[in-house]
Amino acid sequence: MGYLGSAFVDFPAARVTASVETRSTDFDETSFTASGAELGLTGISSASGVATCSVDSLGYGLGLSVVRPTFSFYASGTKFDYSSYDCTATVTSTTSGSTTSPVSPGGRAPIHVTLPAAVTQLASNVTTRFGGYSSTRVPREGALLDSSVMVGASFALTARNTLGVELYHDSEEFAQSDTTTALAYLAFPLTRSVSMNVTAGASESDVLKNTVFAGVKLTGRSLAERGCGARHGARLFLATFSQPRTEWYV
Amino acid sequence: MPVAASAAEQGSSSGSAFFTGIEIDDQESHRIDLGMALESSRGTGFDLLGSRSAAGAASLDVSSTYAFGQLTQDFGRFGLGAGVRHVRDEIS
Repeated sequence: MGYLGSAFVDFPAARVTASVETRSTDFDETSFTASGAELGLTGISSASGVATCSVDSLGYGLGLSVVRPTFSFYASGTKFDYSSYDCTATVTSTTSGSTTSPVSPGGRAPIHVTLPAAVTQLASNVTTRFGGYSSTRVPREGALLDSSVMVGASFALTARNTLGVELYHDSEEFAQSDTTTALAYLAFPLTRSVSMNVTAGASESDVLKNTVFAGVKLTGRSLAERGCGARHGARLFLATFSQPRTEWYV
Repeated sequence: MPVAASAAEQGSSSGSAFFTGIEIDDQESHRIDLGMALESSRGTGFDLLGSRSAAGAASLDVSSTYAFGQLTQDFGRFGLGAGVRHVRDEIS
């Protein structure tokens, strides 16, 4: 679950947007094997069991947009700080030297682990399996990112048709994977109140195959309040700041 | 952001917008989005967005459900917003 606060300020030439987000991420229970030292267990070489982990993070975002009658430019970046790590580990077997002994039920209380490196190790079965899925198959907000940056520009081909290009770069926190995504989109009206946005692009990831994607979005707008487009557009910028690309490309 | 930054859409939008979209890729993944953005004449806005994506990789199935809601207030030269989002990722 994440809670987001955002603000924008308009300057004569540009709009600056800022956001702060707190996020709490819970991982499903997963099996682990870790050294006794990592778990704070003396006299034990390694221990195996199951762990339930969580991590809290803060995200700081900054965006800039410049909108002119025939073109626009926009860029944004978000940096995530993982400040709180927590695991509850239940040990089911231990190894002392070369001897492995099962832990009898009720024989050892769950261990509370808060060291980032130890939590990362305990949760690795969950976190590493998502490596490379950021932005291509999982929304950015669903991935544990270290940072995310994007730049984009759009151009008015005609009075109602727009061509845009965008570039994204996401770095993941736990999987040590980077993903770069480039896309282009064409927006045009279908009817007086419905517009279509067609997108095509490609993603390159460190750990997954390169991906080519295409999408289409239909947007319907109320005609009852025509004339407030600039304000509405501004609010959409605020709303979509730091959102997955498919929300808008769409 | 392109929705807002689109020069062609400046001056043609209104107090409410509803959208839906789908994305597919060459790795047997797809994503469906649905959302709306409402704004009162006094600059108060409400956004509700959701998506569902699924990827059927050879060795791993991944699905993700995303929801986002936000209240905003446009004061003219500046604006404020507060939102909440929830994401559930599943792997099998």
